[in-house]
Amino acid sequence: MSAAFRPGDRDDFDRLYRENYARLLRTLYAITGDASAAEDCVQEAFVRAWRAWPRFRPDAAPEGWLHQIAVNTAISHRRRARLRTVGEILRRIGRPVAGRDPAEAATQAEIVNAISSLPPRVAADFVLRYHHGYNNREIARLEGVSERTVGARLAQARDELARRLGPEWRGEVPTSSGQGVLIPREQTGVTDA
Amino acid sequence: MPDRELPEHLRQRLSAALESGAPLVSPLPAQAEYAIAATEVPEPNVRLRSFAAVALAAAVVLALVGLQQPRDWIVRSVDNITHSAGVPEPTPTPSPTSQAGTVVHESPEATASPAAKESPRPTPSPEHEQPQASPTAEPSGDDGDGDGDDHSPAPSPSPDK
Repeated sequence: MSAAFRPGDRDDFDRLYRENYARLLRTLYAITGDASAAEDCVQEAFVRAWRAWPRFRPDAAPEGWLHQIAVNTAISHRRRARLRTVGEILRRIGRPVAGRDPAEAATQAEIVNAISSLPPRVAADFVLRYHHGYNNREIARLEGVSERTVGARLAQARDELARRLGPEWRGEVPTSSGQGVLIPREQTGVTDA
Repeated sequence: MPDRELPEHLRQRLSAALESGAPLVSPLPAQAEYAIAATEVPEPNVRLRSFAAVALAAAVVLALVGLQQPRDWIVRSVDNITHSAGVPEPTPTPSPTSQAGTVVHESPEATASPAAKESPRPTPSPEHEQPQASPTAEPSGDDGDGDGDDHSPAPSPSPDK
């Protein structure tokens, strides 16, 4: 558990930035499907958050507050990007797919494309659960919604991915009681570097 | 809604897709856009500067308008003084009766001087001996007309006579 954050304090906001940048970048990448767009959205989200930081209420979790701002920023970006979709598709025709192994890269691109085609909050919950390792209760607390809502979103994501990527993406019911409660990667000390 | 888990190999593929697609190049907080925006756009200074400019302009206007009023007041006062001073001009020389009247009201000692001329009694003698009696009449003449300086010598010869 991190120390308390003081609204308006620059050092605390810098700490918030360091602790949340990686998670937000990956989450927004899943929503937007574009790495540079995700970086732009994360930066824009932090600018918005910085402007609202003096009015932040310390009784709320700053991570959740920041997550909401970031997801809303990504949703706005997707709306704007939808208008450019046709032009973007035409521009990308014939361009070779970047990556070490073309087959692997195609698979990874398929995964990202499939996730980013989900509704933004559904995609965010899917990444928080299966990539960052939060459980449903933590996601619900982070987003200020009920666990039931989170469960419904995850089921929607799995069904849609199973339809696009294969039935194994529907997942499997955990056999033992210990499964399904994961420790977030940020708390395990695992770094992405 | 049953809570399901993804198989481990799918989780790994998911992580590989997200991490390779969005390599983590986390800029330092000082290089983040919010830090740049915070240093580049000092909104309070802009507001303060505009407020100061408005306040300065208002102060200049107030100073000009405020100076106008005393000037008018001074001009009006001078006009009044000149006007009031110009009113007695048609009668610049007050009648001796009025002057004598004033003397009678304010210095009874001066009345004794004409009486001294008519009566041989020696009572006015001290007044004759005291030339200071004439200055006592001068202020009375000043209070009466406001231009007593012009007529102040008038009572003084009277005791001499």
